[in-house]
Amino acid sequence: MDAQLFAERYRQLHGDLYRFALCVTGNAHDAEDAVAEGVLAAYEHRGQLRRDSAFKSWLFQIVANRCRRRLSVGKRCAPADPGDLEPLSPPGLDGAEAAAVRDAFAALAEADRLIVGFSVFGGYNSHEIGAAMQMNPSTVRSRRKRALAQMASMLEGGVR
Amino acid sequence: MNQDEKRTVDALRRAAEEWAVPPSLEPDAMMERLSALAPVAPRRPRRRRWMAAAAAVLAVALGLGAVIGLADPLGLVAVPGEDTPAAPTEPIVFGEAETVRAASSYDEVAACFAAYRERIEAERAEAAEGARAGLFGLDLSASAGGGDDVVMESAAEADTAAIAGGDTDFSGTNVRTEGVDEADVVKTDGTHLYVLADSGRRIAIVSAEEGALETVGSIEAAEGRSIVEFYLEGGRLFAVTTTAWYEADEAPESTELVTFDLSDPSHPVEAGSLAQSGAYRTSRFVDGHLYLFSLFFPSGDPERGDPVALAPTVNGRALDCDDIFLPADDEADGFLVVTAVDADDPTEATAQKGLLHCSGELYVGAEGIYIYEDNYRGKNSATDIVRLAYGAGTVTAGAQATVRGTVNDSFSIDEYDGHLRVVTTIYGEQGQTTNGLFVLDGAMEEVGSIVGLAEGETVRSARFMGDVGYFVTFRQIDPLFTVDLSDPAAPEVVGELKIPGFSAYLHPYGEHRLLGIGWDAGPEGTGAAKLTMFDTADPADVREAATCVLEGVWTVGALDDYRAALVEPERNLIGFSGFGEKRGSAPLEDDAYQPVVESGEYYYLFSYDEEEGFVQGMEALLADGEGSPVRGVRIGEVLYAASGVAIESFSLQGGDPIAALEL
Repeated sequence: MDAQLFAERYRQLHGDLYRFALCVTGNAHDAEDAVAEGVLAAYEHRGQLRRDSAFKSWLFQIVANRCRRRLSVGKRCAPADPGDLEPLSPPGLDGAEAAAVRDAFAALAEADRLIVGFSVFGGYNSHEIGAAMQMNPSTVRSRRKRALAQMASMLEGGVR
Repeated sequence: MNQDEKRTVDALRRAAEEWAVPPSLEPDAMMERLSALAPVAPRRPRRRRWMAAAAAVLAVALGLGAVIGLADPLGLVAVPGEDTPAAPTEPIVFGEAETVRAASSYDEVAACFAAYRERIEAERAEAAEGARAGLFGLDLSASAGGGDDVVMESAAEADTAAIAGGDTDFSGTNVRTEGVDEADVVKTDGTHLYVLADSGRRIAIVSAEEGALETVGSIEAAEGRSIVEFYLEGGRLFAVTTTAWYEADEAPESTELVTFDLSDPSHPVEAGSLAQSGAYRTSRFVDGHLYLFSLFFPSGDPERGDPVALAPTVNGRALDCDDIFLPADDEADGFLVVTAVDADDPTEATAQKGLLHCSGELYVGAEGIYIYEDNYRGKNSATDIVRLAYGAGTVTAGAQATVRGTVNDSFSIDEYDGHLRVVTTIYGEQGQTTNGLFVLDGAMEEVGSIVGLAEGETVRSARFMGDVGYFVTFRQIDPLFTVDLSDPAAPEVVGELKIPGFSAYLHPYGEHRLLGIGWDAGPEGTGAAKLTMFDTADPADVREAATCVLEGVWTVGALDDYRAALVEPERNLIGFSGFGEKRGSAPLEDDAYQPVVESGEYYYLFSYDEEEGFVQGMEALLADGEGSPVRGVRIGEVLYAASGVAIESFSLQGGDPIAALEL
């Protein structure tokens, strides 16, 4: 993949890539560093990418690994700090709801944040997430379902 | 994904929209940083780029198959075939078997990789021409799992084999095929519980006596490795490990079988290991032999250098070319690596095979290994099935065939008395469905079939019991079909029962009884789980003997993974966990009450009574397992509910908690 194509692909993905990293790390600084490091690594190794069509999953995987390393260096499995998920731009009209969603998401276990993050921002299905996280796809499905149910339950209890 | 889940996902997406990307990550700023990297890697010609692929990256990329674009972020492709790019090259031939052939040279293997690459490049060129190039939807090569997100997995053959061990008997892992053990994350030998903890970093060894729990030892994963699941057999523990996923972009992925001697459970002693190429897929334990399956995507160059470099290795040695089986369409991007290992000498393989281009689902019967995979080449849905024969540590080439339709899960495919029976849902070009049943002989030739069943519905669960097969289809109401298979050439529908909701898992429950676990109405996740006991005394007139609806239950672990079911008809015990919520109220001052919602993972126990129907024995809110799967294990009169985080014990008499232990 040449530099221009790389740039074009990155342009399309960078928003979701950053949101994914923010979800997983729960920390704006870590997310920024993880994306930057991951993209640099991907760029350096872009000659190794066998199929251009796999670019997105490849890049998400590399960034996920960077996130994961940051997590394991710090407090392993600690819940994310909802404060770090504060919007960096002025909140929209539904600011209260957004805050509640962030709280609910931050309360998920680390692996569940990854699964939901992969799913929502990466667009992965359970087979793909299973391959990335070495988990049975059925485990991925049940964990995602449970994580979403947990979030829904918190939202229902908190907002209304 | 149901409406509630969609709402949650939408809310998360909306909230995330507010997270502005920091300026340093904006594309222009990032590109400036990248271009400052010196020296910039030289541009390589197209072909060489492909050759230099890194194995770890490939394992991910190839395992993924068609990556679904952002417009459909959760992969909710409901109808395989509908989104399939129109690239029908040749009509698919159904019902005719083809022998699985071994390679005669490594060059023949390399040619398969080259053919695959050529097709991909041709498709890519075509797509680039077609402008609109949706960036990621172009890879037509691999299976995307057939819209798995909407298809419920259901589950198992045979009972949760109770094992008599000295004075106390105990439950084993719920498996698909009786006599074919499956690895799991929780196992017991009747005196100790072995529980995978810490996301695969260790196995906790806990003594369990009359409900009392004490950690006595542990088995740690080696550096950079992660334990996936394990077996317990004959005083030894066989752990299957894979490259830890945070290492996966650094090193080629491998699967290892590491054996531990448990003569003293508080001091497990490593007794050797075996390694094979590729990421762990699954495994089985049959008659003193383990069978390990991994997926390997080589990084070598198929056209230059030594083609042997393409071959997977076992303990560092490349497979002989006559151990490599060629695919039906002579193109491949990877291998399914199969090894057989004698449990008495678990450091060497007694057989080692590589199947080119086989990344499908696995079903292991008593005599055959079946790999089934959606076939997207035609306009209508179809499934390729490859059969290998196995036994006593050998694995031999068999035959392959293609059947119409899509297989729901491994319970829809069943080997019995020399025949394979397959229930499928057949999707038409506009997504309309019918269902069919196909009977193949040992050479994979189709000998009988029924088609055109239950128009507009899809198979949700199936269970074959000898000459009789049951399967549940669903649209609005849930018909349970009964099929007489005593004449393989002329299978016949003999009964049909229509009931609300549907069973997603069927399990034999003693004579003339079939247990169904599923949902009350609508698809999964309606918040009401449903138990059904079918009376199968007259296969032509199956009746609903009893039902029980559990309100506020959103997920049931056993419906995602049959190993999570605890079903012991001979003990009259039905156990499973589910994520649910209970609404109640707690007293405040002045006689006021405040509503309380207790949501979390509950463990449920039921028994079945001919007069009273289902009788609930227990409903306990478990400690937060952080989403790791829950297993219920019975030892004597005690139930142990174990997650990767904690174990809790309960008396089977009355369901009272006895003890809890954090792992």
